[in-house]
Amino acid sequence: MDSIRLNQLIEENYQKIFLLALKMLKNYEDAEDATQDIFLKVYENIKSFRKEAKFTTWIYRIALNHIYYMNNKRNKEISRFPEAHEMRTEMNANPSSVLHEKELFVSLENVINLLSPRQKEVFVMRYYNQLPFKKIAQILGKSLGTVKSNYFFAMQKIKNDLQNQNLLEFQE
Amino acid sequence: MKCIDKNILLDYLNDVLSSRKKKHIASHLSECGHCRRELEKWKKILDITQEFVDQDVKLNPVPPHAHITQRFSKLPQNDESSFWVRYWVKPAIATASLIFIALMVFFFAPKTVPELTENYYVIDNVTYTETISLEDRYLDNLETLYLQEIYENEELTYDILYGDWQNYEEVLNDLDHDELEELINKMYDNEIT
Ligand SMILES: [Zn+2]
Repeated sequence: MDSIRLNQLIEENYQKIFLLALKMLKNYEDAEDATQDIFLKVYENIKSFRKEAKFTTWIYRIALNHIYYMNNKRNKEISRFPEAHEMRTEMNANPSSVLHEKELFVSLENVINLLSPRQKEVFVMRYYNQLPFKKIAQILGKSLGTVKSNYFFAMQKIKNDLQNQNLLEFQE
Repeated sequence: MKCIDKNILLDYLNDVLSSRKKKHIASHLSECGHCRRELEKWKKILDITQEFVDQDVKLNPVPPHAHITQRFSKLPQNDESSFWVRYWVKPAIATASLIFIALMVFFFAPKTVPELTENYYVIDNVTYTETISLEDRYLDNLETLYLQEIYENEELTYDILYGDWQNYEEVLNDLDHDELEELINKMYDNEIT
């Protein structure tokens, strides 16, 4: 793979990986740090990588490994210093609260945070990263059926939540 | 005529079904108001979710940091392959793989379920094994199970939740709404988060 093509792939994937990290870690600064670390890992391991066709799969695997690693590390820190964490969360309040349909967007953000990690990663890869289900299955090393069921239950939760809050009106 | 399951409708909207299934669903939709409304509901939810995601993406633009892109652009270009590799080895490999593929097609094409294939990845010196699972079309042949069995068997519930729930697609299709609701509730109860 030549370096021009490689740079293109980095450009294409950087924002997507950042969004994945942001949704999984729920903190802007942590997500920025994680994304940089992930791409440094990609850089360090690039020589051991061979096939271009699976490049994104490979990046996503490194990303998810790192995100889960960071999350575990952070959870340990939080249990030791809970006050510091609360202050930080306050400062990094979600910027989407400025949106015109404020209520709805805040609500969706909340629902996403209620998804299980498995459901959340599938949801983010599907919606934020626009990956097809087959690719997601490859990245997670799961079957297509498993990924689809994770997605279905995520959507079911979102649907129920929107309906419970009367944010959707349907005539039955 | 039985109605279409919610998750199948979701698959339909995501365009991940075979053309045979899509046709079947389209023809049911043309004559069933209930399923049309159900489809509209999902469509609305998908639209709202997508709108939310688009806004969110716009609000968080993060271009790669300069020190990252610089590093990647300094990576050495691949060496041009030598004469022998270009004119002899590569064509030989190509021919061999064509023959191999032809043989595989010959032996495995007639209705056999393919072996699971495994891929290996090395990240941070750890080897990850990936199992590529069976494709949808092979799932049709797998045996279907009765609802009672699904209810009573925790492993099966787990399977539907985390495994190949599509194996049970036919069973799920036969359920009425109350039964489906009950099953989904049971799954939620068993869910490990
Ligand atoms: Zn119907």
